[in-house]
Amino acid sequence: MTQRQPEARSVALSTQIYAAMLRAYPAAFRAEYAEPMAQLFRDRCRAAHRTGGPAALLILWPHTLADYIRTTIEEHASGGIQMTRETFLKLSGWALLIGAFALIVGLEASGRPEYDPYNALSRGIDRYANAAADFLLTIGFLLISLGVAGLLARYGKAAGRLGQVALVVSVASGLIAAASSVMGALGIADGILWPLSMLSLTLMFTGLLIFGVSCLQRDLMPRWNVLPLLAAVWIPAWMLLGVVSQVLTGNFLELSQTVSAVLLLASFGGLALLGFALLTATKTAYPEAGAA
Amino acid sequence: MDKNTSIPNDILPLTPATFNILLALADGEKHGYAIMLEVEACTNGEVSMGPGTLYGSIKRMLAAGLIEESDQRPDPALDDERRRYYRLTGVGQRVLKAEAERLSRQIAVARLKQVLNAVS
Repeated sequence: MTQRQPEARSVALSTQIYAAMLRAYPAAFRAEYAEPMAQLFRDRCRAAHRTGGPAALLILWPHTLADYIRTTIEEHASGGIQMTRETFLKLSGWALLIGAFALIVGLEASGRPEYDPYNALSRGIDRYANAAADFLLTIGFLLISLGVAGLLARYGKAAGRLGQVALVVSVASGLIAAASSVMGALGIADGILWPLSMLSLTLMFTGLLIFGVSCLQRDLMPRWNVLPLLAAVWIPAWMLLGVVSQVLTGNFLELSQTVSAVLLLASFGGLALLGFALLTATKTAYPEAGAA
Repeated sequence: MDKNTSIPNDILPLTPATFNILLALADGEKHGYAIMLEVEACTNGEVSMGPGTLYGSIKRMLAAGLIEESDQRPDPALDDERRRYYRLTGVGQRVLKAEAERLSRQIAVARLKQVLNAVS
């Protein structure tokens, strides 16, 4: 038996993360293929590390993540059905549309006061709004993550390394935001939920913002190139101004209700339009799928 | 059509992943990572299959009888025992040939319509 070199830390960490992620595949598929899949990923990591060091793994991950998300859904959905790339892209487009709507409703619901029949500001509908808010936010963030994963699958390669990494950050941040909504519903770690939610929301849109710059530079979405930037710029800009305001005046920038509503509508309306653009691009690229 | 030369009716056209995997195995058995490298090399890096796509395709190809696992190791001394090798079955070879011929006919039409330059 040949003596193996000690594994590079970044390779070992990547392999461990990927091996843990494989748990999301169906049990039967996992039992048969988890080990060779982990081995194949390790081989790829080693090869990438040999040629480009730890930075090369950052380039490998976006492609792996897009493959992982698509095939995890495919294997769960299968039972004989194959999810084609165009089906995944169509689903992603719908996910962005529905996810944006769920987030707008969820954020509005989370802003409602606690239901209290003796409080003049509280209305009957708040009872349902309070109950639905975390659920809508969780579903909304999960769907937005799926939608951004669709953007990654459709445009990731053409967006360049920075664009790819930005979209991966956006997907991961959306998932963290969804997890923080679940934690909110369960009453776990209340102290860190607000900063965690705001940070993940900001990173989600910042990733999209960087992808938007790639779109403009590389003409990735003809007729829609400016859309990702327009959808993504508002929340990071607000956060940046807020932090500057905090540093200069000691107070985070407060927005009026109207400005907040316009900002959220611009952001999530933009995401919904992005979903529509993804659906249109999928129909153009796969006309037979659109006709089906 | 003779039973020995028949191929399943609904299998063509193949997905790009299935065709590329069959093509990678055309010149001998390979393990997953070698298949992936071969596909990348044959397509000038344009097709890069992740582990999920590769093993999802392998699962379906095994079920369709296009490929089978091999117990043999080309060079056991240099290889990891845990690696699984795959090779084409007779059906897989016929399906690969039929798909290559189908694509070739389409290329011929493309040349005829001057979408591609005709062979001089």
